[in-house]
Amino acid sequence: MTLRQRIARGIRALESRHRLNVGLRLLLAALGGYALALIGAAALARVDFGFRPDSVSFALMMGFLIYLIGIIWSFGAKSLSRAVMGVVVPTLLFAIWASPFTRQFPAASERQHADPEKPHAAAHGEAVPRQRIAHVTGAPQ
Amino acid sequence: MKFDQPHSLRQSMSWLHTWAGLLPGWLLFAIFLTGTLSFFRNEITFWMQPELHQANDKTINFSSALATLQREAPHASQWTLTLPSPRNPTLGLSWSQETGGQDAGNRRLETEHGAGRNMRQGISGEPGTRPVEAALPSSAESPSAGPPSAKSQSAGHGGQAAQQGGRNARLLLDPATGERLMPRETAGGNFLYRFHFELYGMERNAARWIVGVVTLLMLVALVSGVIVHRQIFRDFFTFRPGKGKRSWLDAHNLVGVAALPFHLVITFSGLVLLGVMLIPTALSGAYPEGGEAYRNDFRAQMQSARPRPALGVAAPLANPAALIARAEAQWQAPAGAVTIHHPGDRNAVIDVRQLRGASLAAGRTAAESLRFDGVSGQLLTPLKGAEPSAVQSVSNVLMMLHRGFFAATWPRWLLFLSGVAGCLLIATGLVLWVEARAKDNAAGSRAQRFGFRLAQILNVAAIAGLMVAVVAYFYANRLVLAALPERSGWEIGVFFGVWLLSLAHAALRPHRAAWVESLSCAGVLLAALPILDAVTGGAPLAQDGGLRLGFDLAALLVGLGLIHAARRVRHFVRKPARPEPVKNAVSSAPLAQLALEGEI
Repeated sequence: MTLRQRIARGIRALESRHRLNVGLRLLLAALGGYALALIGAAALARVDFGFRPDSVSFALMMGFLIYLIGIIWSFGAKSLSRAVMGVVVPTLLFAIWASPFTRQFPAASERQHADPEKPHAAAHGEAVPRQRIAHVTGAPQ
Repeated sequence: MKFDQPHSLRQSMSWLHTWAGLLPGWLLFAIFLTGTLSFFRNEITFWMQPELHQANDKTINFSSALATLQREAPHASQWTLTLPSPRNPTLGLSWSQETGGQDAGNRRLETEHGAGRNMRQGISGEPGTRPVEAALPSSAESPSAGPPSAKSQSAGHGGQAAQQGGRNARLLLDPATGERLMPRETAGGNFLYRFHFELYGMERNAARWIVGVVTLLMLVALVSGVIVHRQIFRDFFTFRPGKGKRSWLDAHNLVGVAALPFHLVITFSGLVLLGVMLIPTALSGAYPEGGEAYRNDFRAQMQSARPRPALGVAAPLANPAALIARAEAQWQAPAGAVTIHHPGDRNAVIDVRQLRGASLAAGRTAAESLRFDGVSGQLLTPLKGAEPSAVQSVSNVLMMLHRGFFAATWPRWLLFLSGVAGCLLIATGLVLWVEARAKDNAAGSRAQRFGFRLAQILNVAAIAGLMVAVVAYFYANRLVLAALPERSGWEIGVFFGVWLLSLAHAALRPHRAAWVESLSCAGVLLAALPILDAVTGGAPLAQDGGLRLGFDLAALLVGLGLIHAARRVRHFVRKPARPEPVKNAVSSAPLAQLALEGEI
């Protein structure tokens, strides 16, 4: 028996036991989904909106959506192996995107300081366009 | 449902819907119920402080209020008057000694996020009326991002100490007379509000994690429920009462579908509010150098709104009443707060802030401010926010909806009703699980029978028992001596004591009797709440401006509803099963079929 056949048989054995199947899907949804969400958020936090707190908000909202989709997929996929692939492959892709080798996040904070509209110089109640303000991450007071 | 055998997506989603809904369901119901009540947090706290009921907000006596501030805080760099609003008829005074700028931001963080502060003080103003704190990223409170000061404050009673130390002290006045009101110490609406995302008596981050996981499961249950469910439109009009399991399923579908957008938004925004604690990489991905830089980006903005420095030359203060009138005329909208910087100085500045913003997408900063010269009363430049970006618009709308900041009276009631629909959704789902298994239970294994009985007990205790506990909490508020030290602890003790008792009751009584008795108990107590209010309130009910009457009326209606429910449960007789006529068989939703086959 070739190695490939052995692996295929192993997967079938895992999939054919009801409780094991459910248990593995549960683990996949909870842990795999969380890993996917964490790495996905890390990658999407690099999307540049010109104002870095926006990137945080965006990544946060996307992270929860990704987690949700990961959980639904873990249970919705026809077979266990498809479920695993559907979580692992996107995680790897996000990991490549988020890895330091591909990092070139523009230093948004520096750009902001160069921005002439940046109001930190005008501190005396003169015409001050208040910057946009996000309330994403917060816990209520 | 067996995952190792061929199955359809709807079968697997139905399985997921069942378990992702059932297991967190009991805690979710508590979170939804206390969260729904939190839409009326200020109103509940007001109700729970009868000493404030006599406040008359027909006129505002500013000279008396300013005299009080002059007496209590002559050296403060900033006075804030929180004006009476439809949600709170008192006039709030607060002040701070800070000099402004970054330092001010830090100190505000400490005091604003002190866990004990709002709880002890009771009524806190409409959150949107606080000018500068609104701009703070409250994520600073979360563990990954919080500065050490904020963390230590939130853990202990630092907030309260700061308040007593006078750095950010707060007084409540009767607006018309300027007389100081001394409300009783109460856990108030803030206890319910805190409970809905921090539970009680737990390490707060652990509690928030639990709430976060449970919220995620709610979202999973919602989405899987929608996938299972094809005939959303038809279910909107389908309710067949008095038919046991079928009726519970109809009711579950009805409240689920009717308020589906609310359920999705409130659940998702709840997750986002817990935010970077659950998904820290969203922050660290954008700020590899650390969360401090993130907070600095906000602080830089706060400094921009700083008023001019004091001159050190004394000058009389302009009349705030006239400035408020001018601002309100310009906005055609009510003012919510007045902040006076450097009172008594030649360079004094008076900011008048709107009660509510006009735009959801602009977030809390949508509430505009007008800045006046504090001596001449001349209009300085208006402080106006820039247009929010797309990302901020989305997240602001989510946050504003979840917290109901924007809401005037009627939208607030609409949010409340949607919250009630959410509670009903969870409750009917839990009951449905038991009902769907009632017939086959006797034939089940020992473990299955144990699980079934456990679910029965938890259903009664978590749904009806919690309602009894909340009502008992309101009774404790009025019946525990007003002057008792640490009395808010007694209120909370009564709440949990009654809840535990109801758990014992649910375990000891037969299932149906437990339902009937605890529902009746909650119903009768709630319906009698207006009487308690009339007897122990701080002023005759007839004088009320609508706050207490609204509370009492809602209690009466919900109470009568619970009594009705108890009667229905008591007299319910299961109809003998009849074969469905062919016409009906077509109309019965697929989910119903699955449920009837015992899949759900």
